[in-house]
Amino acid sequence: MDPMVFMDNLWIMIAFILVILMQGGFILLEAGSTRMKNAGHIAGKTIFTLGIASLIFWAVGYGFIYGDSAGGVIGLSNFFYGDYAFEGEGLSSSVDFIFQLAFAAIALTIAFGGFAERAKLSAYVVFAVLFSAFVYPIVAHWIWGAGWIGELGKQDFAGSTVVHLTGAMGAMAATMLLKPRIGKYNKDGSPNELAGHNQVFTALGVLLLWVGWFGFNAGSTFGVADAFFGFVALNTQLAAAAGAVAALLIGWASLGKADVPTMLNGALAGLVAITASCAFVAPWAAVLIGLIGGLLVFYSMKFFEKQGIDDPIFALSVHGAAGIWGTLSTGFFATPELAEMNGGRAGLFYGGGFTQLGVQFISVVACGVFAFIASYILLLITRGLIGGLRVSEEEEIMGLDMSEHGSYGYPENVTPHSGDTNVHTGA
Amino acid sequence: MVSSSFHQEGDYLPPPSFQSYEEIKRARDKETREIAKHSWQLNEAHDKWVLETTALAVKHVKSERGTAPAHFVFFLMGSAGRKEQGVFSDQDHGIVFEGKDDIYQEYFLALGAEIREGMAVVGYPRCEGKVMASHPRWCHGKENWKAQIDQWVKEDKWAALRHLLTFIDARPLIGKRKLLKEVKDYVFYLVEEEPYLLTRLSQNISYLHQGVNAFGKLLPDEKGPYAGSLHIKDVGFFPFVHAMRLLAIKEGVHETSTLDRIQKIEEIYPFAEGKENSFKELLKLRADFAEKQNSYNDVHYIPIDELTKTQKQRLKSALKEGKHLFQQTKKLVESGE
Repeated sequence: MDPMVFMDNLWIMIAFILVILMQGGFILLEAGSTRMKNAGHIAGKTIFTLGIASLIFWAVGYGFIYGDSAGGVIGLSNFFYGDYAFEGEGLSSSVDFIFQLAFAAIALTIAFGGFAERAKLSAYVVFAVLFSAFVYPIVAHWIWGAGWIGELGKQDFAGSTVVHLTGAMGAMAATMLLKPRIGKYNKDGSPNELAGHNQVFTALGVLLLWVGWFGFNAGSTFGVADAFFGFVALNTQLAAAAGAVAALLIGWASLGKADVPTMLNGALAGLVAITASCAFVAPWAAVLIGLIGGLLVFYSMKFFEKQGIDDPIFALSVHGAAGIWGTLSTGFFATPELAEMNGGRAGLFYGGGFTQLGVQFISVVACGVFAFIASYILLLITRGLIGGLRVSEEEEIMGLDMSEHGSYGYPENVTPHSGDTNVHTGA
Repeated sequence: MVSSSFHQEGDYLPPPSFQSYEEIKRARDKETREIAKHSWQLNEAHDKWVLETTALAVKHVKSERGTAPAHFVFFLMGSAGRKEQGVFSDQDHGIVFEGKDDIYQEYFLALGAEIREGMAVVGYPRCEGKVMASHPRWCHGKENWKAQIDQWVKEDKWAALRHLLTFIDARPLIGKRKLLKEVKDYVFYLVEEEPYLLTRLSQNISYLHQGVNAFGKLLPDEKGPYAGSLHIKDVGFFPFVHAMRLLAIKEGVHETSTLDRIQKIEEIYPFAEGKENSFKELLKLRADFAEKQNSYNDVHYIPIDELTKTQKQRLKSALKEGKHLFQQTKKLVESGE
């Protein structure tokens, strides 16, 4: 095998492992951002939904994305993938497959952010199947397969739209149907703080995601030629850094205190935003994109909370708002050289006019609307199948660790007798 | 309203037959073992011993603080209210008195505290959730009781509505039972005026413990001191109790025992027909193991390995019937029909 081809395949295999490790980041991020009584549940569900996403991607997801396109809408071949053939150049198709699989699983995990602390376990199971089969693959086909948006010259290098916005729209549909967690809002509509139980976990989760993101973005080079992955990694690092600092400062300036969860979300927003544009923009633009992402996430969190939309893991702001911004950002900042190298046209600030920005805008609207409506309908179907998406009041109060799994993630710290459900039932 | 067989209507408070709580305990322990296998007799006996304890407590408080300043009723809740106690049972009780809290509550709280301590000596552990007449939540003047119920309904929180459900099982033991009836009638009135309240009460009891797994096998505790035993209270009794309590509220039924409620309810709702046999089966199963029950926790468990094949079949069938009754009831109530 040609050493460069070998290196390409090895690099993507490493990138796949890094992206799978991002699930560990989500485990820590989500568990830390929620309450102790749900910790075991929220950590555990990430593992089995990764399992479901993998099986569905293997069975139909990959085929729907990369199969022969039916009118640019959906792929219809390559189901139950099992190809080990290698043509001697480029990526082995199985290496490509496994790398793509990891992205599908990330989108699903993002969507489940909207389920946190109140969805039935069965809702996770059913929706994992439906989302992995009918939401993510459609959007991915449109942009990365031979779909209609890809044909327009859309720039989404590693998936600000495909992965993050799609996941966020699933989360939004879920959190709207599930309604806010008990105690999140008062009767007059004013919100309460339902603080996560471990900021250290959340911070570690963010760092793990940050590291994994080098697989996500730099791995999306699909090869080692010209070591372009280094440039992608540089942009990724700068945007994450700017996002963290910007969110810290805006939180500090606005609230008088430098709120840690806001700062952490700023880092993630920087990462999400640069995901689309990392291969298209200059480093100074990456800093600006991350910075705007960090500011945006602060205001977005406040906006959704004010609208009465309870978003426990901030998926709508981190992956939705920042995902939209990141997708649009290439329309402003894509340089002619990088656009020529990686597809599409130069952005508005490089004399490219509004063409690329228009394509980016259309893709955000089309994919966002589709992902939201499709997720909403599939959640209604899920609700019908399992008799309601949400656990009972009593189960929510006792915590999903106990109600859905029969044991607490922190058995020494949470006991059935220490929760609010220790109200004598008169038996 | 089914009340104790041992007390008279009105203000009559029987004089105590014993001089100390210890004496009551000795007499109770002796008798309890003899009738442990007969659920109804056992519950009649529980009433008798609690009545004796209360009478003695009234006497003690009278000697310290003088005669009760107002008419009152002392009532039982929980399994005692429903007459479904096992050999061991904890305390669940309250007081309604005539007049206002700010004038009389202190006296009756003291009476509640004396009853609590007396019952603890006699062998009824204090309620962990403090559902006892010694707690201000469960000891009020009639109008204050209604105000508290209004507050629970207005609050609309899970814990507040659970209190309301607990109160519905109240059964008078001593005193002017009309006082309790008026407060309970007030709950029925509220439900009639605002049917959504019933839906909220139904939502409050949505959590059903699984008794049988997907392969039809019974699900005992896997580990711990009760490994191999089934929690018959949560898995067996509760679906029946919750369902019949909800429908009793819906239909304004004053009976508190689940069996009595089933008899009233099945006249209105065919899906409740014949369910008393399943519930009796569960009571009998628990009573069959009475000799091995030595603590309050013990009475909630039955060892699966010691059941005969027929007993297991009957148990599974009863659990199935309970689940069906529970689901049908919730469907009915939450549909708002």
